Amino acid sequence: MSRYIGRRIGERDAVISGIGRSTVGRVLGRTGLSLTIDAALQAIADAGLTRDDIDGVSSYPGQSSQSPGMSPCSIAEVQDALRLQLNWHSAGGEGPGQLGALFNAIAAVSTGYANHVLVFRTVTESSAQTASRRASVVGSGSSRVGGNMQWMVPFHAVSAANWIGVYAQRYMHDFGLTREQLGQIPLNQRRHAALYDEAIFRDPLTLDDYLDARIISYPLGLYDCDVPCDGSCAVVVSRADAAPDLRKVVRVEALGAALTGRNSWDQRADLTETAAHDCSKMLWARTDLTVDDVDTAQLYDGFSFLTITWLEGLGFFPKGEAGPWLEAGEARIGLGGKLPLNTNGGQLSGGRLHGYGYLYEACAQLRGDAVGRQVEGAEVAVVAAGGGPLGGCILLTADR
Amino acid sequence: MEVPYVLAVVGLDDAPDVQLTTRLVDVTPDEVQIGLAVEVTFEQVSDDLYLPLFKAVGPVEASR
Repeated sequence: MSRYIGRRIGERDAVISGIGRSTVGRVLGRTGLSLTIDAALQAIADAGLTRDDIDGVSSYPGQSSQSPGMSPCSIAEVQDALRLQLNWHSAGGEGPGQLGALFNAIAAVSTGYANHVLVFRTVTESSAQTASRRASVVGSGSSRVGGNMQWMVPFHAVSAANWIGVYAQRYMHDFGLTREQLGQIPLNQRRHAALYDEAIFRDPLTLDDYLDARIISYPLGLYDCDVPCDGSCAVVVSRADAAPDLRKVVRVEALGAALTGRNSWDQRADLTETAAHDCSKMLWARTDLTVDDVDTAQLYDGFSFLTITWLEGLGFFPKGEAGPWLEAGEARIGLGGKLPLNTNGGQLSGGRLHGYGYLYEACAQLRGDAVGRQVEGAEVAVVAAGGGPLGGCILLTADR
Repeated sequence: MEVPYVLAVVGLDDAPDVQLTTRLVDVTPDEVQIGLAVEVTFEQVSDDLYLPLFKAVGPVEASR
């Protein structure tokens, strides 16, 4: 992808100036708006700004989602509650995965549409699924199933566990990945959750616990699937020369939003690759840093196998070699390992904040604020979110 | 829907750009392997609606 070389890397004109996170938990029984306001006010104050400074808002996936608790707070509610005067705002579900809302904010700042954009992602899946007794599956509501889903749901491929299980199965077949090796990812996240009192599941998890748990959609078992939760994360994206508190700034080095494969869960020619591979190529084409410079990785683990697609796409190991690479376990991906991975417990143990928990954690690590789980001297972090045709990744650096 | 059931992505010999997410029938999960040769069988689900499901035509050695 040398076509990017010599062009302006616009994302470097933006910084993450503040971060916020509501209480995160199971069945909190609070509204999406209430959680969002907590996270938003925290992020705005953290940036050294006030509500009057915020002139942009961006969110994912907007109000369109049919899945219970998936999108319980609209931009309109947030704008009105905070009385924001906006130059720019946007929310939507079609784009490079959950981080698309972050990338839009970065673009808005870089192009001069706005100076300080509030980005939020809120979920109340735990409360909503409990109240409606509906899991996060497509086609269980009253509305007609459309888009790509109309070709999958009639065959009872109704859940992301089904769609992603197919990828995992193919990878195991082609490259010999075992469930024991895959299990290193949930075990790692659980070890990290024990160090972070905001994580949801913190009790020790053994390999036997993992292997003995019920299968959800083979080869994915219970502990390969993340934890629905209630919570909100927010960040403020500012023009690099407008951030008031430079001590807290996290710099944007490069992002990847590419989708060069087919925009579908099941039509990609190579079913061991996803958008993660496309995005990663774009990211590395936009920076002189390399995979060896990464101090910590916060990579999507909505399902454990998705972390493998990101690790492989980003080039932490050659294609197909996830199994042997993961076997080193804690020495490889633990807090004291070569690549501390998902240091907040990820979504597998920390809660399904749908991409933005990783972003919050990467910023905390780069600022040296990750109490009890700090990666010593962390200066470069990679964050990624999404699975299948949805994917986006970003390389962040400490302002040192 | 009774569990377990077998989901599959099926490649078509005469349409290499198309892969169908579908369900395999008349086969147990243990009997399924990647590369299994399958053929279509239509399940009628309403007066004018049929779903293309697939069943094995026999084992094959190599995956595609």
